[in-house]
Amino acid sequence: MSLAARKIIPSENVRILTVGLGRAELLTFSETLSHFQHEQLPMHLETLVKGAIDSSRSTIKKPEPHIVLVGQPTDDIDIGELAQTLRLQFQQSPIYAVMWDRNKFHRRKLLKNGFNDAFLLPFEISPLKRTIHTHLRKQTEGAIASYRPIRVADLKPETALPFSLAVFLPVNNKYVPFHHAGDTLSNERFEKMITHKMDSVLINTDELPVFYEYARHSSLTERRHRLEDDFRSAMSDFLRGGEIPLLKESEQFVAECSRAIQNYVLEFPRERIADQIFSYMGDIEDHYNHALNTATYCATFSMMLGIGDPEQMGIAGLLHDLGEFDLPFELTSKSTELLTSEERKIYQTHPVRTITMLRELKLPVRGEVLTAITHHHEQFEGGGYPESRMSFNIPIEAQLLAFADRFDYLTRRKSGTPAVGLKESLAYVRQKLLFADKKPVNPEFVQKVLSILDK
Amino acid sequence: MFDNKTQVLVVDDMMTVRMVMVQCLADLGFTNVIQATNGQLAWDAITADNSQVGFVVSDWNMPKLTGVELVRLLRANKKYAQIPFLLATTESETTKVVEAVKAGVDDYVVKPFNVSTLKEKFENIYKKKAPK
Repeated sequence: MSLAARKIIPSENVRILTVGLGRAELLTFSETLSHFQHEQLPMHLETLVKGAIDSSRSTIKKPEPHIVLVGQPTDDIDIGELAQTLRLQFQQSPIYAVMWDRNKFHRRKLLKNGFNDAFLLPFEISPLKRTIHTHLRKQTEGAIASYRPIRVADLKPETALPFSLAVFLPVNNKYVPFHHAGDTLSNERFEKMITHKMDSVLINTDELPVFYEYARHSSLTERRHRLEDDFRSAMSDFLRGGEIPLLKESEQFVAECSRAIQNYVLEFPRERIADQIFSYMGDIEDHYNHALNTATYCATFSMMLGIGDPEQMGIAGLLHDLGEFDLPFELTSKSTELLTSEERKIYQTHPVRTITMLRELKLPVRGEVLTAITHHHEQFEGGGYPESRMSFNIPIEAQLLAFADRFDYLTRRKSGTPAVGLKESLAYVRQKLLFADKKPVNPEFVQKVLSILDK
Repeated sequence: MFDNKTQVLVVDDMMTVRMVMVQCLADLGFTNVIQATNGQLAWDAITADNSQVGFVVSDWNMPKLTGVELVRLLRANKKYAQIPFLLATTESETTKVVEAVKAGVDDYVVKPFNVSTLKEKFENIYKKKAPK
């Protein structure tokens, strides 16, 4: 179809159909859905079959929704059958599965039966949002943009930037242009970004290759994107509806995690290690970001402190919260501060659930990774879980992972809140970790790492 | 044109897909349609003493006996070798298509299907099978 003949759809005419999405899932995507027309269908196979029959028999094609999001099927519905039925009804629309039960989540099977992609919550919220925007950008000829954050540290002032940049205004809930391709980024503007505590700006996904080329010698952004893509792809091959993978598949998964940590975290000039940590701070709170950030902090802190094997500590960081897949989504979609005491008790089982899951999937991870994960919520001066151990009774690898986990918790940004500068962020870490009544992590680690980052 | 008095056997392990297929076939005028949920049951229906099956529309991936295994069995048996066989599947890779054609399917439709693609496929098969 020629460009001229292609219809540009205004965003208010974009129709998103959700099938059987629960309250918690709808709440998670309420901001994305609020921009478009949103229709809902229940997860009711008979209704869906009727739709499939109508659509297959009709010679006149009814306009289909621009995107179909399908929730977790009820126990009596087979996911393959659900996918084929929906595909018979919507032969053109992209259909994405949005599920939270890993025992029914089988990405390959879903894709084979007609879904375009499948996302497992709570981890894959960001990739799903990005996928929705990328698809809509194509359909609306760019009227709806798809952005990915890039690090301000990757931009060189007083040079012409061959790509455009945008920023997101949380109060107005919209994206605005910030820099036009070809213009020079003045020193003044760059300084302004720093004083306004902007650690990242947004780039249109179309322009990412140009950006990667521009920043190819030093790009922290590209490393971060590749780490995320590689981890997601490893996870995709691995989550197969509770099927136990073959030994060689498990080995391959761990090898892919090791390679990602090696290539995108550890192979970085030692003298720029602080930059790497700074570039991850201030990320929006999200399960996926948390896994990648904790992996990066854990591997780099391991190098800085000379404790543990940095690669193994990175793997521990990537996998440490996988047990959250086995908790109800209503619980994991909430901020931990908002949990009731009953919910908190359930939430606190996640380290043990992670270990159970890793064992069940027969992942050949090393002993120190399992130990670190088991005890990453123990607190240095007591009161942690699962065993309420104290100080040097907590394995050293777990002390390190606990620090990385806490460091991300304290330096990440909640959606819709303003950015915090690096100095303030580090001061907050110092206050929470060194001046607390009961110090949660080994203060020696905190002091050493902060002294390097403060330089 | 095809003969819609023929008895068509629809083979798919998914009830919903069978329901859609039966409706599409009804639109094409086929009123004598029977169903089976896997290749083994389909084989039993075709080889039954009083069988009238004159056309098979089958899925590929099914428990017990797949669609491709079923067509191989049919083609290996003189009595059933000529039964028209349309494979309706989600498998779309070229290697898979080649495998199915080698096994003996007369035509191949990649899901999702609709009435007009089915009509086209039926007409093609009847044209191929018609006496010269």
